[in-house]
Amino acid sequence: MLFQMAIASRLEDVPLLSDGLCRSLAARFGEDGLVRLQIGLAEAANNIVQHACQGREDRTISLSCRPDGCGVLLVLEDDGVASDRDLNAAAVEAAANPPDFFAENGRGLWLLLQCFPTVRFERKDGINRLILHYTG
Amino acid sequence: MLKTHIIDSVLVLEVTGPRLDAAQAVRFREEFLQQIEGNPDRVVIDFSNVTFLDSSGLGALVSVVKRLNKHGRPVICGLQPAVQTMFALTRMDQVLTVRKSRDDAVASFAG
Repeated sequence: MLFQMAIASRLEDVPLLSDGLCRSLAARFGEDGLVRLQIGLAEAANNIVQHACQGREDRTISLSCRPDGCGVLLVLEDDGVASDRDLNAAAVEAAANPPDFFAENGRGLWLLLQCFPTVRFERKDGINRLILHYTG
Repeated sequence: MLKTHIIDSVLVLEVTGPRLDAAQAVRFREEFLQQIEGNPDRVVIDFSNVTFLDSSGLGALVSVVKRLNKHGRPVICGLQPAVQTMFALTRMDQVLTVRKSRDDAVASFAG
């Protein structure tokens, strides 16, 4: 395991997760290689706080990171609610439809797909799991 | 989270916090809209202090730029590497006017 951390589901705590992860992977990817990771992870965690945890700060978001081939595999888990839509299907749709330049929201999922070559959503035993592959 | 400067009749709004993210976006938008209540036509948004921008922060920026576009064309400057990457990923660098430094941005209104 390269990194493991849990935070309360608060937007203010999301930087702890991304900063901690980036520090632990600095030697592997270098500063420039971490920018997309930081952006993508923040989008993922923000979405979990806002949608799965629905603003409830008593929920927990955990992140683990381990080596995987030429990159790393990140797993974000939360005990929030299940999405009422198929997020893997939504990702396929988002990938094909870049957001409007002057949209004021709705970029999160699309951005996630720009940062990680592999994005997969799962839910099992009451836990949401987001699996991301990052290659730098 | 904003500092205001007037330079050569240009309103420069300097974002002071290191992050413009989901936790800050609403406050940024509210403070910004207060600062432009007089509908200024020459505005620079200085991002020199901002090291991280997420999609919520970008949405807030888009919102204030749309408001400013009714009276002029704002110029954005001082993009740090992660913010620059965000602009490139979302292609905002193609639709917004971006200059390297505050001086360059203010000078772009001359003449």
